[in-house]
Amino acid sequence: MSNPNPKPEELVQIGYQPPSKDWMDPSVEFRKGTFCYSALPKNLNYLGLPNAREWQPFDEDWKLPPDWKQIILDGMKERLEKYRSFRLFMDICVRCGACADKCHFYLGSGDPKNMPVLRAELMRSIYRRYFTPAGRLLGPLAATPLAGGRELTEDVVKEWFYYFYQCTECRRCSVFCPYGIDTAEITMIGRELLNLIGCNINWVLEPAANCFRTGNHLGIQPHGFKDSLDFAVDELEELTGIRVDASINRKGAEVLFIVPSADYFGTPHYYTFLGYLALLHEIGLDYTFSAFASEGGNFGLFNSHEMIKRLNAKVYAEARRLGVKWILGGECGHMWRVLHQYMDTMNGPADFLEAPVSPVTGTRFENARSTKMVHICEFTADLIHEGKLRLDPARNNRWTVTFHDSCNPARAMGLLEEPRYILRSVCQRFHEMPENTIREQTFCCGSGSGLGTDENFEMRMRGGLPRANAVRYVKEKYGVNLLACICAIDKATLPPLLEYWVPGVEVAGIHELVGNALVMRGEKPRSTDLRGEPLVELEAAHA
Amino acid sequence: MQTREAIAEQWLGRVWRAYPSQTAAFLAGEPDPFRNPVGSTLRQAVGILLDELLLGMDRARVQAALDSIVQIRAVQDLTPRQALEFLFELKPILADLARRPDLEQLDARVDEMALMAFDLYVQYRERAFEARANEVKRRVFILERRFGARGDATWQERGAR
Repeated sequence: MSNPNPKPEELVQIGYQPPSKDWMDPSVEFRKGTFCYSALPKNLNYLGLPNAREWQPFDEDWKLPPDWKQIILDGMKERLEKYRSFRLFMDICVRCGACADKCHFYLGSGDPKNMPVLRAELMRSIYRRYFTPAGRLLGPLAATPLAGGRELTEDVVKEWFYYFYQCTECRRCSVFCPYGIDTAEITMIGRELLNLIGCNINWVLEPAANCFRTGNHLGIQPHGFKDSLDFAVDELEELTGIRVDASINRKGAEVLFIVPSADYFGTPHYYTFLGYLALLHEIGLDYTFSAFASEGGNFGLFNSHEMIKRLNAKVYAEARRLGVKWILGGECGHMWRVLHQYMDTMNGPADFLEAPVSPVTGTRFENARSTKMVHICEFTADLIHEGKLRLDPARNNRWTVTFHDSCNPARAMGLLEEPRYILRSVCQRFHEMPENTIREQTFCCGSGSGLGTDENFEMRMRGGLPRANAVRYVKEKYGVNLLACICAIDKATLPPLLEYWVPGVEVAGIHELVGNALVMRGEKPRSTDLRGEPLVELEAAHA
Repeated sequence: MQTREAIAEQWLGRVWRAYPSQTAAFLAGEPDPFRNPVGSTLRQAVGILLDELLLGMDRARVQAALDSIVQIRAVQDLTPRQALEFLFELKPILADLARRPDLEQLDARVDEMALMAFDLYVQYRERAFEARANEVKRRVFILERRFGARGDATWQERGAR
């Protein structure tokens, strides 16, 4: 400071025009709270991934391999040949701007490089420089704003890392693209390329390594899985008076049930888990869990196509080993993108399984005849539709509910009506958020695709603002105090999001509300819901 | 009233300019509050602040308007100084456009708003860190309860929320 005692008017001398920075300038600032930490070497080693080392994104030297540039370019070439979609997405964007204002990170942060078109341009500029005839012909001359190309430098790698680990692969932008460009796939390729030189994040690779070792994200071993299940069975008995049988690794069961592991150790997921147990007991489904396929989530989706396949293989392998007829899957987001869009191609055909038929209603799930895997919301909606459940929605009367369409079930598998149908059946007060924030246009929680870690908290709050903003609207208009959803990442990351933006709104899974409303044969009079909270309004009504 | 409109326009213009140019046009132009939560919140709150500044200085209304702005800016890519700069940007505009006799009072009111905004900024930074800590507790809630680390008290009772 040249003047230690500035006058007040000097203190408020503020520059009003921010420095205008060309978008092609790749430099980014890694400010704590806005990025994820690097993956630990042990996790890379466990998965056999290259360039395991100690480093952090805010370090000057990222300790890239000496030939990193060639590795990236070779990797890009290989993927351009392997995935026709990738080449197409690199070529056909006309920069119409339809996607520009659709990204939740752009809306919340105002950072232009979060416009999907510009985020993709971070890679397209490299494509133009190195892979188009003009780029190859002109060489470095193609690396000009006019030609739209850029040199691949370490700064570009850092910029890719910053933005490709900021995009949550929610695919909202792709809904609006007239050419059908799926920007999430560009992010996925971007992350694959970064992985080739060891630039990855721990929040993705630790769950992936754990999954590879024990079958679930936390690395819980089979005996730990059994303990968790027993604990839940005991608690459900305390709450309902009914002891359910939740078998593990039981050969010959009709159905294999796979849930995201957060369901049995996180909250509020756990109450949804209790809801599943109550429901499946009540209808007498002949099902079993697997202590090896003890995780539906697949963080390979946030790493590489090869990793998706490796981590997903256990699903069909366990179904085959246990000799089940078909597979039922719990409430999860990206798990369903993998199951619905990749599993059959990568690890199928599951011709040893049968097309799923509900043993309770006889309904044949034609939509799942190839994958042989049914979403529990489809299954439960069918049970309700066929009148197989006795429900007392008044037990959910402490909640005024809205529904957050989780990105993957909504956009990747079109599961829009079933959760709503269930909600309308199990609770009495349900209100939708505004039309352009739900269904296919749903706003992401801001923490998907492996970015829901606490060191990335500020960025998540920015990305989650459009979602929270719509929740605030229904809270103020209808008194909504519960946000229901069907994704394990949502259940983990929406509570802090709402704690920041809309205090007073809680988060629950659909099957928690099903479990509350479900009238079970032989149950004791319920005095609490599955959270152990008293059924206040019901008691008042009876009195 | 013309003066109020002129002040509002200039002030908003400076608020938008805190954002990159590509974004500023969108924030200023898109009217749908769900497609443009940041822009519509800022626009609405700036209008309220200006009304209160020129009229009654109703504390509750000022507080609510500042709250909605600061909640957003406390987690955007802004230093604390940049996050609250928008209030000080009002001063040169007022100096140009307001009548001399009013200026001293207006200046004092802007200062008061700035102090309120400072409280709110700190409150939201604290809330972000609390929410971040609570998230970690929630993540392994059942494991901890199973192993008895928390005793009988639920995490709500232990002040996690």
